[in-house]
Amino acid sequence: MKEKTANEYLFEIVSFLITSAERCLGPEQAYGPLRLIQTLYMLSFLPDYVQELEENELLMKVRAHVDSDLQNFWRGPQLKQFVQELCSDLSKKLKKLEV
Amino acid sequence: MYKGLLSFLFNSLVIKMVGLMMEHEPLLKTIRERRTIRRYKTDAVAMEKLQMLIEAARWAPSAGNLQPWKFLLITDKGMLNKVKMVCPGWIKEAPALVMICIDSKRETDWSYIDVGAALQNVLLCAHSLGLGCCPIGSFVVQNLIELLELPDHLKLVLLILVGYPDEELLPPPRLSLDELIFKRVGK
Repeated sequence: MKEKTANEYLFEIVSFLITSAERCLGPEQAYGPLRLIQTLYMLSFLPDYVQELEENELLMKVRAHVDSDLQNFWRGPQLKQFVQELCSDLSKKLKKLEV
Repeated sequence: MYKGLLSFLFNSLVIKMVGLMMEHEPLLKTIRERRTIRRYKTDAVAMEKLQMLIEAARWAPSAGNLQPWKFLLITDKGMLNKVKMVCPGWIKEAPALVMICIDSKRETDWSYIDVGAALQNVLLCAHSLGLGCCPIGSFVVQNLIELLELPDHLKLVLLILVGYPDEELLPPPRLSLDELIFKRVGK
């Protein structure tokens, strides 16, 4: 994964988001949540490219989830359950967050 | 309960029948064993192998034998990366890509069905060569037309990722014959 520079990787994420938006305006409206999870997956690799960044627990959870079941992670019920789980994890993080 | 027993007996018969057919029909075996592969080894796929897939596609049936398909074969890493960037449905890297277009000069109302037949030939041929494939329908046509300089008469229909499988998959569930056959007329 690390053959690219940070800027090249950022460009990949930008391309993904632009093309996902185009598809979601058309026949892939229902894929919006999936594309967002894919974006989180891509973001999970950012620390490989940007030294200041630390691994983010939530992002790593997304990566592990996607990698563990490429065949099914994107299917409706499984995706919904996972997003709910992420929201619950996020709540726990927010409670601990010192602002 | 009587109906349940009949259904059980029928399904057992079907399983035996399919078992017998598998022994004698290598094609059916290939059909049943093929899986959609989404994780590939980094090993390169030779252009000759991709051409063999097109040889299989070439013999697919088409309405009026118009053969409305046209293919692009890509193994160049730089181009694969660029294509991937405009295909949100493409998740993991793949070493090769087949793109299927419909040539509007030979298009009929049935061309999408024709392309489906060609696609299945490609998938089965790939499996028999030890390759795995994943058809991708999520891409931005405009970007690919510009990137690959496609002429106006070629309509991009589908992308097929190709590579050596880096995963072993169990068969996904399938509806039984009983659920699929609406009516049997005749012996």
